[in-house]
Amino acid sequence: MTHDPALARPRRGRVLAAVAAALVAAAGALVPATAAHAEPRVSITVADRPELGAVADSTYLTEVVVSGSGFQSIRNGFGGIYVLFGWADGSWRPSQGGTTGSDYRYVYDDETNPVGYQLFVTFPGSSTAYAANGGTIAEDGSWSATMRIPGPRFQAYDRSGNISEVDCLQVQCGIMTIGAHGVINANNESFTPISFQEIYSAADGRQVISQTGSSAPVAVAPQSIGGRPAIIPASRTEAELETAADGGVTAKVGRTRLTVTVPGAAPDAWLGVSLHSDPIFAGWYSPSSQGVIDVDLPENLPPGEHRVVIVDANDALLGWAGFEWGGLPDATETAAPVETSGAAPQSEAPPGDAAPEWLVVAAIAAGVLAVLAIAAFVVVLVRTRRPRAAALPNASDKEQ
Amino acid sequence: MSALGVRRIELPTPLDRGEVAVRCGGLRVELGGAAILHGVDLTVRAGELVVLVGPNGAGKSTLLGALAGDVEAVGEIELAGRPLADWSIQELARRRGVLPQQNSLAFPFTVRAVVEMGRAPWRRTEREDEDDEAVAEAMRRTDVEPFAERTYPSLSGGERARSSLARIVAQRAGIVMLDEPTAALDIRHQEEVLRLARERADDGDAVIAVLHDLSLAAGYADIVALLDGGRIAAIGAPSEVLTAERVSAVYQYPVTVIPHPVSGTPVVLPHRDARTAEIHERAVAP
Repeated sequence: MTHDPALARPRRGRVLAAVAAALVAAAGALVPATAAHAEPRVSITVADRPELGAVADSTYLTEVVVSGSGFQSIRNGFGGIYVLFGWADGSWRPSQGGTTGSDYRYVYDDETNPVGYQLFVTFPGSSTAYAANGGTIAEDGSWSATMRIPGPRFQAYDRSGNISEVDCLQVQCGIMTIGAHGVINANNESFTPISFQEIYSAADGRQVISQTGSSAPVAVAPQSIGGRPAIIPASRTEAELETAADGGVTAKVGRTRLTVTVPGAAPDAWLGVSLHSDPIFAGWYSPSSQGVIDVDLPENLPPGEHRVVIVDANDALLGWAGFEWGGLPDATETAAPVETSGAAPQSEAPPGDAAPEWLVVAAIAAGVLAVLAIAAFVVVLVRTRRPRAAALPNASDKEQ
Repeated sequence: MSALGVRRIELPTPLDRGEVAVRCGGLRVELGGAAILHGVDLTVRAGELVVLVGPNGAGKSTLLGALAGDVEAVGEIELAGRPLADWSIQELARRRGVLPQQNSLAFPFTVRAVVEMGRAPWRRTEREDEDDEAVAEAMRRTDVEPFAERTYPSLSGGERARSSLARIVAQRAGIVMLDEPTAALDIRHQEEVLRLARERADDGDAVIAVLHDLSLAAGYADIVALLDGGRIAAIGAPSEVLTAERVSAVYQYPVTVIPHPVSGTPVVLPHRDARTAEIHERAVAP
């Protein structure tokens, strides 16, 4: 007869070790700090103009490369995420009760001939993966796909079929991600603002897409939307920057963000941020009362020495600072809180996204508690067994 | 790991037959500055099939949307005795299923996948165990099995309507709201959809449906609510509500109402003039 370890009666010591191991595993599962996904984060660049981040053309169809990181990837999970372009109010998140048509409105695709206004990015191994036009959420929580933004104006429908028009030159639009197939997943909800500017000219032979019922004349991008400038700052040459004053600007590199301090910047001002030396426009930011902004570093920023360049709303240079970037962290290395969401619409992301200290403390405390619980359990187990062991000598130690 | 929080979601308790499932009082809705509903009172109980009828623009779909929580409304709305505003979206999805008038899908999901989506509210709950059975039963009952592996955008209007209905049936939410579920269907499938709604009600669900076909409504409903200009003009048993005089007045078109020769339920026949009859006679003459 062969020896099957699963069938052999283990010694008591082995039972206790197994119980202890199970308890440690259980305690580990209760500690949120080990979650493999971080805060969902989306970066957007114009497909043929990688130097332009989070913008779309105010007249013509724009193809953008949308890349996510920090998303929850569930192997064989049902669905994945839908990636949509549209408007969202402050309470749009489905996990917080937001409903389509009233809290968020997005561009529909033609269901018989979809052109890529909406993406479905699938979980690996989902039963509906065949329908994914946006690829797969990799196990490290990243994904990337090309998507189309028809223009700044579109028609949306609510669940009762009522039509409303959205004008992204009047309201803040952006890219939304939500759980697909009706599966609400707060971990995968995000909103990334998009601003509209003149990127292409008629000479580029671009398509003008009418997404509205009326044949309204093609819109001209305003100079600002809700105060946020809608211009793309002019690129400065390295030589220009070398001779320009740095304005006392300092930059501190975080995990996925750059914390920039611009001395004297008023909280109601708008600061345009570009990253050099291959200039990438990273968007317009409104500083804190201390002149601090947190800049999301674009996915396509290569590791190495860089310079962050700050201009005001009139594209006048305010200053610059050098920084070194080691690349985006591997999602599996991050110890981030299991937060419900990414940046809220029309608001800046909270500063600093490293794991907060309380979480580290909580994780250690949970570990200590688990060890104490196991110790107590072992003591109780040993004590309750002792009388029996005494009454039946060797019974518990007897091999089969 | 169920002990560690996967299955701790509180599930809705099933409603007893006769218990109030949906109630609204003084319900008002404005859309784009225009008043669509002017103070509607309605009570729907578990085990009842209530059909909302009325001319175009009477507010039927808006009323259904407001009761579903999809349309913003002023006034009282309660679901299972609790104000609608107190329900989270997940809780709502486990309590009521809604079939909207339009079902648009941008991705080529198969019919089977669409029906499986109806089970999303029960993920990570103990009722997840019913998934396979609920999907299979819903597909059988709505006759979508023959095209279960086809993609939704490739279907005809009637096939789509039945696939969407199958998703709602698979949801098993206890309160079912159907907005024109028969609009694209042939006679057989119209009757089957209403029979299905009838059976859901007989099994204890509360079913509210918007219909245009008055005879179909009269043939299956416990209660018909006739809406006119954002108000309920009449509500009650089909034979009480659907009188020739009232229907003619509300629809502004003369009708005759006769009892169905087999079931005895009211059949509403619009008047057609002599010339129409003449054309008809010529068409059918040998």
